[in-house]
Amino acid sequence: MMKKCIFVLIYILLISSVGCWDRKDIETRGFVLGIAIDDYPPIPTGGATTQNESKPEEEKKFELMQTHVGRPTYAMTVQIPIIKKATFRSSSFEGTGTGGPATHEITQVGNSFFSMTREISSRLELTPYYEHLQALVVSEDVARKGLHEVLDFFIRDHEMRRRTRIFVSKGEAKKVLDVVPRIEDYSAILLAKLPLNSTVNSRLIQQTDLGLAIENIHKRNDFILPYVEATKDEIKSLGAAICKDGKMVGWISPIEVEYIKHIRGLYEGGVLNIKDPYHEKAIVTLEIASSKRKITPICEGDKPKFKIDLRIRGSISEYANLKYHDLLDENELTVLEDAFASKLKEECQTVINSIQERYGADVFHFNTILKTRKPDYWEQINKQWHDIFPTVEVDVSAQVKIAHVGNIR
Amino acid sequence: MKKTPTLSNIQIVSFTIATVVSPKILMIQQQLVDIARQDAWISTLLGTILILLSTINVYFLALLNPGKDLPEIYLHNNMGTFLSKLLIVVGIIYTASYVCIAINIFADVVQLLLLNRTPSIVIALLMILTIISVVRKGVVNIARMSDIIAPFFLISLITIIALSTKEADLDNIKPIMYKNTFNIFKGTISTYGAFVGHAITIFILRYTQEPKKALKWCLLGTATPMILYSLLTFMTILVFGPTEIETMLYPTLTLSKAIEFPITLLERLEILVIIIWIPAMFMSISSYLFANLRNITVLLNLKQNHYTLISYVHIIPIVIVMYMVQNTLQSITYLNMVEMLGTFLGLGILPMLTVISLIRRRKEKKKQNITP
Amino acid sequence: MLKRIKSIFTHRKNENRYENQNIEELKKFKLGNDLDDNISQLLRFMGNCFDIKTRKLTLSKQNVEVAVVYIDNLADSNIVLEHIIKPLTINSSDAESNANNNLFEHIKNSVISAGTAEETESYDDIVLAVMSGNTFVCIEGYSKGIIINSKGYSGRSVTEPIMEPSVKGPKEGFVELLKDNLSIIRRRIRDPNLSLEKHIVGRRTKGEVVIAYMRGIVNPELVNEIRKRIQAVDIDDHVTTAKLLHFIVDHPKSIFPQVQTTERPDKVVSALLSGQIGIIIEGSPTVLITPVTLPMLLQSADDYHENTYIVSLIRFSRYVCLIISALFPSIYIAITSFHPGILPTTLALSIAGARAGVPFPAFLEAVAMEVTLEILEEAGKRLPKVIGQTVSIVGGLVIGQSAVQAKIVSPIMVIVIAFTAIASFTIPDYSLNLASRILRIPFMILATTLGAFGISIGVLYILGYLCSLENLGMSYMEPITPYRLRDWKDTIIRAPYSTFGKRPEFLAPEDSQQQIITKIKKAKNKGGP
Repeated sequence: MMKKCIFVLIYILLISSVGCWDRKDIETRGFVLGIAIDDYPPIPTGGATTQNESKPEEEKKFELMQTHVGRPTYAMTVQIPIIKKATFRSSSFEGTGTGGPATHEITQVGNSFFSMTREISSRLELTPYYEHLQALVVSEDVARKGLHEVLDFFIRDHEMRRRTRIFVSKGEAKKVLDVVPRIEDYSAILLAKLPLNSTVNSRLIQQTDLGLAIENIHKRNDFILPYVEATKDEIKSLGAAICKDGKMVGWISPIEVEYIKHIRGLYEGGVLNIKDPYHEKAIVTLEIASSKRKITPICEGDKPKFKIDLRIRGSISEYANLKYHDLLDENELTVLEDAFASKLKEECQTVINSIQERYGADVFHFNTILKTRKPDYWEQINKQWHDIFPTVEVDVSAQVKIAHVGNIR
Repeated sequence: MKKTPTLSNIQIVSFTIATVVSPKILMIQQQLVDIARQDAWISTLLGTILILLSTINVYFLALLNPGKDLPEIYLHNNMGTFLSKLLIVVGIIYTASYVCIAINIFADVVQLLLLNRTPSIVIALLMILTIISVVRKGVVNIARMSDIIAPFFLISLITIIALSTKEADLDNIKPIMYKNTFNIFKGTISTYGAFVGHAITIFILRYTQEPKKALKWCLLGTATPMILYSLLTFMTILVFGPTEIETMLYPTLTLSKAIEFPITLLERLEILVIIIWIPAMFMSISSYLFANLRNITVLLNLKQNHYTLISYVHIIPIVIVMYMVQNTLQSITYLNMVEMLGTFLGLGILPMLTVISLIRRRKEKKKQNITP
Repeated sequence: MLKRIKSIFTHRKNENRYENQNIEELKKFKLGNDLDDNISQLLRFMGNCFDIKTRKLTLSKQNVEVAVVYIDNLADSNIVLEHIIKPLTINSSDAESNANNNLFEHIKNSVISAGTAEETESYDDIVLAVMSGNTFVCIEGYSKGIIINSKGYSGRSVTEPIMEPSVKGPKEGFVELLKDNLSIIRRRIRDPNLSLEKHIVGRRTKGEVVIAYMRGIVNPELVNEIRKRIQAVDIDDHVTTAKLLHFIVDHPKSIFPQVQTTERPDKVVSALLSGQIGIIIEGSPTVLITPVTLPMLLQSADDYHENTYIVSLIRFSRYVCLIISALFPSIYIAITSFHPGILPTTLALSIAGARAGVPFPAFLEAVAMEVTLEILEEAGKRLPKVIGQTVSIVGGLVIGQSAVQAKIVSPIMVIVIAFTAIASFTIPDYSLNLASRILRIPFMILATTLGAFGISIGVLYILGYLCSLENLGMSYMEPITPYRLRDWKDTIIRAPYSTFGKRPEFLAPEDSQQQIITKIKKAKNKGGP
């Protein structure tokens, strides 16, 4: 009996002396939904929102902070939703609903991201909380300087998630965050949901996660990140930014992204248009359901050669032809299939050559193919891969199969 | 009604499953990938086979010395009092330091992920107090709890493995076994060291009703978690690839961060991993504490009603270790040292004991035959 | 030190006590030959109460005085008048006065036409009998008396059990009279192996306690142990279910119920047939069933009237509801205060929005709502049915709604607490329901100090405690642990009746075969219509 009392007393003392160090009510946390990273001089002004226009001069001074060492090089903007606008709307009590921006953006300038996030807490009554970070936008200037320095904080901190999406923005990153979307509440969530449409649009890259980017940097692979541009209330994808050695070296157009996806095997769904072989002015559209690729490396001599086989399955979704051609005829289908295949082959070849020439970045991950299938050969040419890649010969061949033609012939 | 504790044969399965969990489950991929690169999963498979062989060895050891658990076997086998007591002391050092280091790492990880500002000593103390409240009621209590907890743990492990198939990339595994054979064997020994918990069967076969029929349950209890761990290692390598895993401290947690629950109902699955890992660690440390209690009881020739007191005595070394070990690196180093000791005991001492028991048995049979 | 504190509370003072008669002490006193003496002694022992009636008769033929003593509000007056006094006045005259010593036997065997007639000599039997409603007949010149069973008090009629209604099952519930309860049970089990043992418990109250079991099915060790414990009960007071419980179970202070109390006869009957023991107490409409395990407490009578798949899902959901009832508020506190990262972003934002403007931290909110809920439930118990509806409306709608609109509590908290309350009512056993409610507060404290880790520690501790509870040698968590797959057919799920072949293994019954299953052969259609 005595022992039990002592036991229970110890328990209670322990628990009551703990004092709830970690307890923090949910409304006292500032959920950071999106972060935009810009180059420091000049201070980013962002898009023309009411917030930015009405910002007094003194507030712009708040954005500067003293650094422990060195000079500030980055400007970080965090997007925090205003909770009152996100409330539980209880019928007639809330007045006229939402008015004004639903988020609050704070910009801070410095050179260490961790210090910058802590500095923000001196300007806000809520503690920044990163577990719900949806999107990270990096401006092109910063990306060209180097991504690894920026991303290290986001990987090392245990609060961050590896599935946060990264975007590279043309121009100021803050402008992208300042967008007030017409349907969604917050621009960060809009950005996060954008790659989900890659099943219907092949010009969007779906692999934009922070974890994947860091993986590629560690493996010394070259990779692509979505390249976006923003207006006042819309964000448009401009293709992809090519990152080589962890730095952005250039960007490619959306159509080139599409063909890269074919070659990488990341194609989830999309569209291919060709000119009708019978009529110059008409266009035939193929909706591609699946695209499989098979790459065979041929290792002879100094330079490897690659043979790429693409197999596409799709259905005709648009056939704007004046003269009636029966689409259920075998010969007709074969003609169309060949036309699609040759178009695909041409374009892929062009894209590969163009990237080899312009950037010399192996975004197709041929190095992985060599490493996994021909490890002996890879060991020899490992060190010089970046030099060898632009001269590698690639032979693309495509096969298209049309499965459906729709409701009508 | 006081009766000797009895366990049914099926309880051996959950008891073993609960004990085989070790704090290493969060870190083992990193260690193995360091040694064997992308073939670490083959190491785990081979390690499974090694551990199964060791289980069979343990089973025969228990069969040859019916009604006795490990410290009693030491004493029983005519090896000389000094040597057997020395071996019991070595056993005590192993189990006690395992308990201390495991709690240390446990408190570290919980502090890192769940409770940032709570001092780890509080976490450790609460954990050990709860463990003591379970262990001091005897082995049957531990067995019943592991019966309840083991299925949840297995199901969550299977869920994580299943959900990570979506992110898997087969290229990360290749090239398979490319100039790596020696490292694979080194990795096998490392795997064995991490999961020496399977030898707990030797402590519990004494309480079962029909030890002779227990072989298939022992094997099932050891094989299930080991196969799941091999799958987990396989999946981790598939999702991340060896270069990335080398940079991570806790690959399993990072794996759960990387997978997505399809309905986006729950987003940070790593908290679920921790929640399920806490009971699993709880059971594992309870079993080790129980083994330690048995060792000490036999060494000092005490009666069973002193279990409570001896368990409370364990708080002191735990607190000491918590303050001595200052950072993560040190605790991982100590854990490796403890595992090496465990490997030595498991692969060296236990087979030797089986051989000695076999010889002793034969001698006894000869004596029986000579003097009918 | 603790002993000193204890002794302050249990300090007994020596007061003047009334001289009292302990019935056991009356054993020393025996009947004498003089009738008046016997009767006056008897009346003195019983305190000369006004409702003890004495009828003195004179047998005309033999000229012998006979006295009939009974308590008129306990004895059935029909039996007393028609079957005792009348035969004595009329038929005794037919006696052949062979010899005086046969008169007693004659009266006892041939004259009295009541149901039972027993001979007795000592006052303890007589006093107990008269106090129970029996009649005492004493004849002049004999130092023996006759006790005749004439119990006729009326009790409540059999109605639907209040706390355990059933949708399709029988609507009979136990009542306070032992006779009626036993008849309800006997009507359902017509096996001669049904054994009923009567014990007298309580020094002053002399209540009747009946142990019921199926000879040949139940484990005899269990019966012996229960019998031993009941016979060891030594209390003054009226023995109720709760008090008897305290003596029978192994851990009386534990919050978890270790015997099942039920008002339904079908539960008792199936328990008896599974190898459990039932204890019926005079004056109590609840019957105890022992030994019991946690999964048994989560079975309800309705489970046996529906389809197997539906019932298995419902049963499984009860386990989930048990966990929800104990843990849901603390999970809410842990998630919102410590780990809001678990929630999807939109949900997290809307919870934060709902809590914006609420002055109290989540923990205080939760405790306040929990206390309000308990007060409402307690108040609901005291109210007569007429006011009950009004109070529930006032409590639920007005207080809850107004509190939300005044921003004292957040609407999410109201949802959480309401859902918890509803989940707790799905638990069939009321004591288990109370246990899970009590556990809410410690879990909330653990959640608010240590978050999810605190809840895990609490759950592990409670699990460890439950696993170590043992009653009559049987663990509280059987058959979940150790795995007895055969017994899972009736605990976690309810398998179709065709698979119920054997009784539960953990009760170690003597006869484990439950029913012989005959397969109905489908008649083959040979030249049918």
